[in-house]
Amino acid sequence: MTDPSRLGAPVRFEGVGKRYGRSWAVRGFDLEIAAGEFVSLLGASGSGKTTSLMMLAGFETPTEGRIAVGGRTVDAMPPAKRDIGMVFQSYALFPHMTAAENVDFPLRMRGRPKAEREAAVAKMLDIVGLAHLADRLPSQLSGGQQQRVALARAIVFEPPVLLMDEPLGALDKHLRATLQAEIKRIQARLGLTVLFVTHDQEEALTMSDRICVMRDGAILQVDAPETIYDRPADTYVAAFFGESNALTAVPEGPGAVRLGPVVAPWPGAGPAAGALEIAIRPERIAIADEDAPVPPAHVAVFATVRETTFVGDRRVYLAALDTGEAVQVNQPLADLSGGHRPGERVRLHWATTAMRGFVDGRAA
Amino acid sequence: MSLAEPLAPARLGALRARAATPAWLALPLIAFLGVFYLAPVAMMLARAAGEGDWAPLFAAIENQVAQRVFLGTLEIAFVCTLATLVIGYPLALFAALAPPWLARLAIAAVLAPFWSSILIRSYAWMVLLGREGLVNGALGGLGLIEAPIRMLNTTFAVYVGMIHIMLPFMILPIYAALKGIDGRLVQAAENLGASTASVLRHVILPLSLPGVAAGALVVFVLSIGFYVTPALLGGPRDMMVSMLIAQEVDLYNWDLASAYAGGLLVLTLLIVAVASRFVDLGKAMGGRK
Repeated sequence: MTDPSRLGAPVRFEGVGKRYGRSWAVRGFDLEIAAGEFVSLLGASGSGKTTSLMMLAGFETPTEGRIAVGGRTVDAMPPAKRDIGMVFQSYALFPHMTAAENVDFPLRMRGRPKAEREAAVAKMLDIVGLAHLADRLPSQLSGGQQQRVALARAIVFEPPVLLMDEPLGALDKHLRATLQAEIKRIQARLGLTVLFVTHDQEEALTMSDRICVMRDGAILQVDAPETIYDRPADTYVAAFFGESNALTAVPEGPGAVRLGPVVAPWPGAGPAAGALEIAIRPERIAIADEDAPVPPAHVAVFATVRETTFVGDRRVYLAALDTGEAVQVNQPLADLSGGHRPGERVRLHWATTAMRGFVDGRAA
Repeated sequence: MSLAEPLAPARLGALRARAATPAWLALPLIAFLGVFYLAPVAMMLARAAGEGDWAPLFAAIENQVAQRVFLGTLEIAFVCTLATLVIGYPLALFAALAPPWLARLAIAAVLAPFWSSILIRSYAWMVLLGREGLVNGALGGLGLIEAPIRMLNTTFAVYVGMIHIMLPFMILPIYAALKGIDGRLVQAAENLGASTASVLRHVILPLSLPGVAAGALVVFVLSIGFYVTPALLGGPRDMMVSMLIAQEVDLYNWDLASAYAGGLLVLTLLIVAVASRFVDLGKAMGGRK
């Protein structure tokens, strides 16, 4: 972090809470973001993610707790003094200024010399690929171009922290993917610390170093995308990221659980009594002929195919276990041969390590 | 069409489709204006033309009193516009920034005078500003002055009365423009390092300029045609074009009066024409673009 070309500063939320009237929009918010880290706040609307962002930007005052940027508490600082870049949901470009004037605005407010400003604006417009549109008004730019202007404006003054509030929400899917990659590239190049608010789990997975999943004003889990996906802290997080099969299991002595007719080894302690919910991702389940051999360390059950759908790069099967439980299986397709028909008896099997257990919704 | 969709717009739309353009809906108004407005205006302009030699018009243009009155009227209108802007803009800004209940109160206070006629308000100023009026009484009672100050029938009184009456026409369009500014732009400016003064100067002021232009235009145009207030509150030197016209009418100089009125009409139309190049009048008056 001593490299001067790296802009990022660490950010720290300590027990931050925000109350409106009697209800808490955010409570017990503890989050530490390293310098140069890209963290997403992910949650449904009303989960408190935007409120948290606004408290860091200075537009909301925390009811309790403390926020620090680069080791300095910012709670008493007005937004203009915080030196935090922000891309607003609707871009909030000044409609009476050209793209270049918008990007120049933060430099002008800081009283930088004119020559330096011009050079910085030109360089920044070049980075976001808008050098040829510098003199256009926002109303003469497309949504994606406006987004780039907003991004350029938010980082031209080299803030140590960049906040983005659903910056890609209004754009179509293709453009979103392009800009996601672009934002990541610029962020990595400048070493910016980014706090990114989104409700799109795919966006969070592809862009973030870590994801902070929020619900009802509280943090459910903060982890790297792979961990969040592979080891969700509870069933809500599991359901938020991708698809999941839920099967009911009961403990069968130490180190084992019973799943319908089969007994599977279970590494965790498991509940002393009562049911355990087992979650398995559809792509971790293999589907095979009834008499096919089962690889070692795999759990295998018999099932009947109910439906099959071809989705281009994979086949999606809906199968019914003999217990009546429905299971979805995503079969990646290397080629189009084979496949199982509805009504066919099949054998489903998965590695024991693919199973995640939950007791009362929490990871076991 | 889903059931949840409101029915009325669809039915109005169907009506429009059948009638192509519902221009005939404006016929009653057009007929009314034609008979009671356009025809008299045409007759008036015809009088100003004289017997085809435009003699009344040339007489009007060459009349030095009329020249002074026209220039004086423009000056009064200009000062009124400037004064209402200087007084009205801060109030509009206050109302736009205030919490809703306070903003409602402020706007109600601005609108309240509309409930009484201009004539009554002008008489009220006579009561206030007269030799024995409330202002002189209060100043005398406080011992600040020994003899009453002459305020009524002065240019000062004309300004006080006209500015008071014109203020709402300046405040309301500015207030509407300010309320139309996206609050996120203010947040963005603050986030980008702008002080309160910079936010006002670089974001709020430029974005409220259409409202300022609309308010200034309305006040200026109303002022150059104003009659009652300057007639009641002003002195003989504060004659405005409308009073000049009334004077000629009283003297049965119909042709000259028509020429003055024609001149005022053309002047007003010119100002509106020039201004409309810069101001979207329909939008400023609450219409859709």
